[in-house]
Amino acid sequence: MMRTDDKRGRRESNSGATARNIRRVPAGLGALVGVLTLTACSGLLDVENPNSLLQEDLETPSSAGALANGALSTVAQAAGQAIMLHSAASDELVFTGSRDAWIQIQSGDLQDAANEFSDAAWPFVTEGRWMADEAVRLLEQFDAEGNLDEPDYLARAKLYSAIMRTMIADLWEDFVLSDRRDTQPPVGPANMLDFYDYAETQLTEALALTSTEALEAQLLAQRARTRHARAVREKITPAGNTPADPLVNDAGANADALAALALVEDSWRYRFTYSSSTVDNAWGGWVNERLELRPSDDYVDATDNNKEVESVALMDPIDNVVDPALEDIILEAIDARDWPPLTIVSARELLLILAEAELAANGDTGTFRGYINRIRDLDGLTDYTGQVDPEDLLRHHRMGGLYFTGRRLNDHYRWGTTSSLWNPNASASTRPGTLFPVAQIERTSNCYIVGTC
Amino acid sequence: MTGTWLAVLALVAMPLHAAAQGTVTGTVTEAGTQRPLGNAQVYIEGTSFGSLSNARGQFLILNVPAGEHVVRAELIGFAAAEATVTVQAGQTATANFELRQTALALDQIVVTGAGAATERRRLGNQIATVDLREMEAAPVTNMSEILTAREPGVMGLPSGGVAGEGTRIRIRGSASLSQSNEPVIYIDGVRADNSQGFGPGVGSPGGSPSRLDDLNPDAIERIEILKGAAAATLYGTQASNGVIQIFTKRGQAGTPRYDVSIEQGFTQYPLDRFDMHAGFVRAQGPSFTSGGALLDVGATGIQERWGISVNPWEVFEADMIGPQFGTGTMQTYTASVTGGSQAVTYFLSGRFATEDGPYDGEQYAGPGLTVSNDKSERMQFNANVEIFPLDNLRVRVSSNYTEMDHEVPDTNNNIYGVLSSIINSQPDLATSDNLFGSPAFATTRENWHRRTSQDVQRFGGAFTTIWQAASNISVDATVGVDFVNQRGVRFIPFGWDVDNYTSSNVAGNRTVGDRNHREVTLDLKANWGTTFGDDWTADFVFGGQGFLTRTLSQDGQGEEFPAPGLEVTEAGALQTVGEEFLEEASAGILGQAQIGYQNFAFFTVGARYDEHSAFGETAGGALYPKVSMSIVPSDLPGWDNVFSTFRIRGAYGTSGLQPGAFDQFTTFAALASELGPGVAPDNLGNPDLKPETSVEWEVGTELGVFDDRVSVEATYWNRTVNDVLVDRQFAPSGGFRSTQLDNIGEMKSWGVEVGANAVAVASPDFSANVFANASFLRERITDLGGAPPLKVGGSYPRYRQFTREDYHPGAFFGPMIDNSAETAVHLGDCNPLTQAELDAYVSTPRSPGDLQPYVLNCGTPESLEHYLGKPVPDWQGSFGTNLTFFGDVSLNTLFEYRFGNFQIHDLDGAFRRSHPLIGRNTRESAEVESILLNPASTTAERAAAADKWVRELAALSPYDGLNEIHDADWLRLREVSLTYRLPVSTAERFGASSLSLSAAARNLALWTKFPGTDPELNTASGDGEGGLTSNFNVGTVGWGVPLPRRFTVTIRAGF
Repeated sequence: MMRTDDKRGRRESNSGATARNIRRVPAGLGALVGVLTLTACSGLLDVENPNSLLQEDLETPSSAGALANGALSTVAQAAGQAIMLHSAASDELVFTGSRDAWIQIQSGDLQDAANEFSDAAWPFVTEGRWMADEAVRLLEQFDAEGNLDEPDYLARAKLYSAIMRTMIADLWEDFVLSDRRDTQPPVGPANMLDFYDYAETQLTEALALTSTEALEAQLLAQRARTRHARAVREKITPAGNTPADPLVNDAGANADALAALALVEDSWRYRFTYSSSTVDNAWGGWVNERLELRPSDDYVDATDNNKEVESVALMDPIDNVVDPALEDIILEAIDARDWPPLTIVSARELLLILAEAELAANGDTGTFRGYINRIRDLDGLTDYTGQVDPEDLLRHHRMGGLYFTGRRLNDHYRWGTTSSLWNPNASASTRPGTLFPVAQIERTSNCYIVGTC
Repeated sequence: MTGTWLAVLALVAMPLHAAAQGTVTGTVTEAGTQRPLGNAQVYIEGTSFGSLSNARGQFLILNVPAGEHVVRAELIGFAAAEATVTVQAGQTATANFELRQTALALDQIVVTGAGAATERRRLGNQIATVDLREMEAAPVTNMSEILTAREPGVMGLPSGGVAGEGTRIRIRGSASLSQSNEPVIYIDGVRADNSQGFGPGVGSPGGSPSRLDDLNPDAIERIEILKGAAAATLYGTQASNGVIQIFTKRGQAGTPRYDVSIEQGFTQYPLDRFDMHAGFVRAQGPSFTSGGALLDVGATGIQERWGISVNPWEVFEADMIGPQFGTGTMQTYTASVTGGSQAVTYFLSGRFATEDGPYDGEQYAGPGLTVSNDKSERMQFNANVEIFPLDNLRVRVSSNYTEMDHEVPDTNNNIYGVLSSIINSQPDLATSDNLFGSPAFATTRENWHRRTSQDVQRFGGAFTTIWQAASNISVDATVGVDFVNQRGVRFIPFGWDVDNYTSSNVAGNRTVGDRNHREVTLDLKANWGTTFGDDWTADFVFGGQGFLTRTLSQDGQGEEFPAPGLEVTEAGALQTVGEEFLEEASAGILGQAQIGYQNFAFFTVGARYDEHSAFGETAGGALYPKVSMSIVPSDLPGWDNVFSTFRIRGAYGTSGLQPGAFDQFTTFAALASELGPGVAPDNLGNPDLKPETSVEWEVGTELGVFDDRVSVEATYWNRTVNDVLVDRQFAPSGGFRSTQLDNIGEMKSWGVEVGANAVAVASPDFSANVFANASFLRERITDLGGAPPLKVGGSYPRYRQFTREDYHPGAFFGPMIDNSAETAVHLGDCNPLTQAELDAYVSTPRSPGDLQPYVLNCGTPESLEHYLGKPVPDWQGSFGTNLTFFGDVSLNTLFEYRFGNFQIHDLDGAFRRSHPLIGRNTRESAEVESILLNPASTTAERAAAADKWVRELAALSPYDGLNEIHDADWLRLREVSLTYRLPVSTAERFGASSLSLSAAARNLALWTKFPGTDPELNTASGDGEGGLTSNFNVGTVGWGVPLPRRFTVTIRAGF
C-alpha cells in the first residue's frame, strides 16, 4: 500500500516565481456588457494568474540563471529517481515495506516496463534530460547573440546535460529523445553509447567556456566518469554475456581523472544536495521516511523490526573493520532524512578508475597500490600490500565507496556476480547486462512505439 | 435586535399598502381523512399575499386588498386547489380547502433552467424537485444525505463514514473525463462553492468534508435538480454535469411563528463488516526470527498479549479493530422564526450540529499528547427578508453564514492512518510496545496522534429584485456572492513516535493551508408573456449572467520542532511556503421563447452564448442551443381515459464544461536548485482549448391513473459529449511530465429513469404511500483521439481503473488467471508448473510468495490489461413507504440499491489476503500460509493450499488487480423513521402549537456479497475538483471506515 501526502514534491509556486498577468479581452460581448451594468468595463474577462512563467519569459537573457538552475534541479531530481531504481536493482537496498513492486526490481526482474517504480522514474528522467538540453539550447542562443553575461551558466547546463546522459546510458537499455510534442522513436539499444559521446562533447565544450577552477574540476571528473562508464557499457553490451575481461582501461578517462585530481583533494566529492526548499531525493522518501526499503544485509545489520539500519556490516577485507567509507555514506544518508546528498563523481572514484586501469594494464603494481592506498588512507585503513586479491579489493572499494552512486549494477554484470536478492529466473540473472526498458508511460504515449505515427 | 429592525422596515413599508384591506382565513384538510394539513402554502394568486397553514390546518392572510381574489392552496403530494373569495374592507373572508393526495405534480412551479417561474407541465425536460417539507422526520443531517437516494439518476458517493465526511454527487453518471463531474450549485440564484478537501498543502488524509454540507438543511425549502444538458442549457458553460438549485425558505406574513427542534443520537460502525485478524506462530516462543527479522512472537507471546493459548502453526484470531472504536454521539439544535406583514416578511434560522464519531483513541494518548478524533461541528444561520416597497416591486435579500470545525484521524489510503495501520497489522507480532503488531511505518498507537482539521467561515448572500414592469413583463436581477474562508491544518506532534517505531517526522510537522474562495454572480433576466388569440401563448426570456471566481491559496509547513508542545509552523526548523492565485471570469447571454397552444402543448426554443477566461486564445466563445416540447393530452377538453394524467415530452439541449484556468498556456514552474532559483517544465499548453460540449436529448412521459393516485414517470436520455477534454499524456520524452488537456475525445451515455408513486391506501386511520425509482446508466468512452489510456492514480499500480476507448469510464483492468495450464502456479519465469512439478516443489515447506499466479500474457505489460468490470452499476435507485396510522403516527422507510454489472475493488482486502509483510492476516490467508510453511503439512495439503493461494488470494504487484475486484451489488436500508405528532390540544398544553417526537435510524442494514468493508466506500476522498483520481476512483475501497449506523431521537415544536 499506500501513499502519504506528508511530502510534497515540487513546490510549484514557491518564491522565485516571476509574477505574470495573463489577460484576455473577449470579443462579441458588447451586448452583455451593456446589460450587466456591474461588469460594464472593457476587460470583462480579465483575470490574473501570476503563478507560472510562460515560454517567452524563458527566452529572455535575464532567465539565464533560472535556466541553468532549472537544469540542475530537474537533473538532481531525476538522478535521485534513477539512483533509487539502481539501488533496488543491484543489491544496495532490500524491500521492507508495502509497495511490493520493489520486490520485482530487487529480484532482478528489470524488464517489466509497467513496473510502478521504473514507470514513475521515467518522466523525471526525461524531464531532466529535456530541461538540461533546453537550457543548453537557450543559453547557447543567448551566447551567440552576445547576451550571455555569465558563461558559467552555459558550462553548468552542459555539465548537467552530460550527467543526465551518462546516467541514462548507465541504466536504460534504450531511450527516447523527443522535444515537447515533437515525438521521436526510441534511439535503439545499439545507439545508447552515443549518449556517452554526446555527454563527452558537452563536457569538452563546457571546459572551453569556464575559467572557474571548481567547475573545471567538476567537468573533468565527470568526463572521466563518463568515459569510464562508456567503456563499462561496451563490455556488457549486448546483454546476455559476461565479459572475459571486466577491467576498464580508458586512456581518456585516465587523463581526465589525473587532470581532475590535480585540482582537488582526495576527499573531494562533487554532489547534488537536496533540501526542503529545493527538491527531494527519492531515497529520503522511500528509505528514511516510509521505511519501504533499507540497505540490504550485504551492507548492514538491521534493527529488530527489520526496518532500519542498526549498524554497517560490510567489513574491510584487510583490516576486518566496518568499511569506513560505506559507514559514512549510509549514516549520512539516513541522517539527512528526505534530503540525502547524491555523489555524482568523487576523487575516490577517480582513484578507483586509475587503479582499475593500472590493474588492467599492468597488474598489481606499485602504481595500483598507490592509488588504492590513497583511498585507504582517506578511510584510515591499513595500506594494501598484497594481503588479498587486488581485483577483489578493487571491487570491494567500488562496492563500499561508490555505494548509492549507481555503479553497482553494471559492476555485477561485468564481473559476473549476482545480487543475493535476485531470483535465478529473473532477467538480471539469466541475461547479464539487462537494464531498464523504455517505460510503459512512454510506450503507450509515443506514437512511434504505438505504431500510429 | 433583528426583530426591531424588521418592525421598522415593516412600518416604513406599511403606508404603501394602507388602502382598503381585509383578511382571508380558512383551513386546509386532507380530502377523505379530513386530517388537518400543516405547511400548506396558501396565497392570493397574482399577488405576494400568502401564508402557511399551521398544525391545525388553519391559515390567515392579512391586509388583503379589497376585491375578488383567487386563493390557491398547494402542498407537495397533494393536488393544488383554488377558491374564489371576495374581500371587503375590514372584513374576513373564508376559504376552506380539501386537498386530494396525488402522485403527480405537473402543476408545480419550477424555476431552475426554465428562465422564469414555470409550471412543470410546460417544460419538455425533466426537473426534479426535492421538497424538504416532506422530509421533516427523515434521518438526514446535511445536504449530502438530503440528495442521496431521492431522485433517479442522482447518486451520492460517500467516500467513507468518518463524522462530517462529505459526499460527492453524480447526476446521470460522468460527463467529463478530466474536469469535475460535480453538478454546479446555486443558492437562491447565486453560484456556490461545491468543492471538497481540507485545503492547499494539507493533502487528502480521508474524511474530507464537502462544502455542499455547509448549507443549513433547516433553512432549505426545496431543491430543484436539472439532470443534464437538455435541461441546463440556459446555464451554459459548467452546467454539463447538471445543476442543483437550492431555494431557502421565505418569510410568511403573520404573527411570528417559531419552530424549534432538538435531536440527540448516537453512531456506531458496523464492525462486523471487518474480518477478524488472524495469525499463527511458528514456535512456542518467546519469539521467532529469521535473518534478524521478527516473524512472530511465539506461542508464549500470543498468550501474553492476547490471552489465547495456541500451538505452533495453529491459526488464531484476535479482535484488533474493535478497540479503536466506541459509540459516537451527536446533537442537533435548530430554531427558526418567520413572520412579518404584507410589506415585509422575514425568515430567520439558526442551527447547531455537532457529532463526535465512533473513533475512540483516548487510551492510546502518549504523555502530554492529544490523540485525534473524528468530530464535526457546524453553526449555521440564515436570514431572509423580503420587502414589497411597491405593488410591482419585490426586493429579496437572503443570506447564510456557516462556521465549521472538523477533525479527522488519518484514514483511507494512507500509511499513517489509524484504520489502515490496524487493518494491516498482524496479531502474531503484537507486543506491549507494538500493541497490535504493526509491521511497517508506524504503530497504530502512534498514528492516533496525527491530526487533520479544518475550520471554515462561509458567507453567502443574494440580493434580488423582481420588478413587474407591466402585467406581462417582469425584470429580475440578482447580485450575489459566496465567500469561503477555509483553513486546513495537518499536525504531527513532536514525539509522536510514542512506541519508538516510526521514523517519519518524529520531531513534528505542521502544515497550514488557507483557501480563500469568492464567487460573484450577476444575473439579469427579462420576461415577457403575451397571447395570440384564444389559443396561443408566448413567453420570452432574455438575459445574461456573469461569474467572477477567485481563489487565493496559501500554505506553510514547518518541520522539526525543538520541543514538544509547539503547534505553530514557525517553530519548525525547516519551513516551506506555497501560494497560488486563481481567477476565472465568464459571461453569457441567453434567450428563450416558449409557445403554448390551448394550455396543453408547449414548444420551447432557446440558446446561450458564453465567453470564458479559460477558453484558449483561438477558441472563441461557445454557443449552446436548446429546444423542447411538452404535450399534455389529458388536459384537452373532454379527455376521458384510464389515464387521468398523460403527458409526453421531449427536449434537446447542450451545455458545456470549461478547461482549467491555466490549461491553455505553456508554463514553467519555479523549482529552486541548490544554486538558486530555477524553473522546470510545467504545462505543455494548448491555445486551441475550448469547452467540452454535452449534447443531450431526452424523451419522457408522465402517467397517472386512479385519479392520479398512482403515477409513473419515465425518461429516456441520451448524451454525447463532444470535444471531450482528455487529460492526455504526451510522450514524456518530450520533457513535460504533466498531462495536457486536449479537445480530442467523445463520450456517449444513455439511460432510463423511472419513478413510480402510489397512494395505496388513504383512510382516516391508515394511509400508505409507496414509491420506487430506478435508473439505468450506460456510459462509454467512444474516442480518445489517439491519446493513450489513462490510469487512475498514475503509475501507482494498485488502482486499476482506466479511461480507455470503448469502455466505461473508470473501468477495471488487471490480470486474469490463465486456466490453460495444468496448474496456475509458476516460479517467476512464467512457465506454469505441471501438477507433478508443483507437488515436487511443495514437498518441502514454501512461502506463498514463492508461488506466483500464472496469468494471461504472463510477464508482459499486457498481463495487466484484461477487462475486469466497471465501478458503476447498471441500475441504481430507491424504494420505500410512507405509512400513517391514526393520522398522527407515521412510519417512513427508504431503501437504496445498486446492482447489475457492478464491481468494486477491495484494495485493503487484497492487502490483508496477500501482502507478505503487511497482510496475510485473514483466516483463510493465514491458514494457507501456515499450511505452506508448516513442516508437518503433507504435500497434498500444500498443493491444495498453493492452488487456493494463486486462484483466490494472491494479489498486488506485479499482479495488481488479480483476486481484488468483486461483484458489489448491494441493498441498504438507508432510512427508517417513526414519528408521533401529538394532538394539537396536547401540544397546546405545553404552550406549543405543534409537537412531534421522532425516532429514526440511518444505514441500519446492508445486504451485499461484496467481501470488503463497504461497497460505498472509496479512496477518492479528494478535492472533488476533477482529475482522473477524483472523478473515477469511486470504485476502489481502501482502508476507509464503513458508513455508520446512526440512531436519533428528535423533538420538534412549533409556537
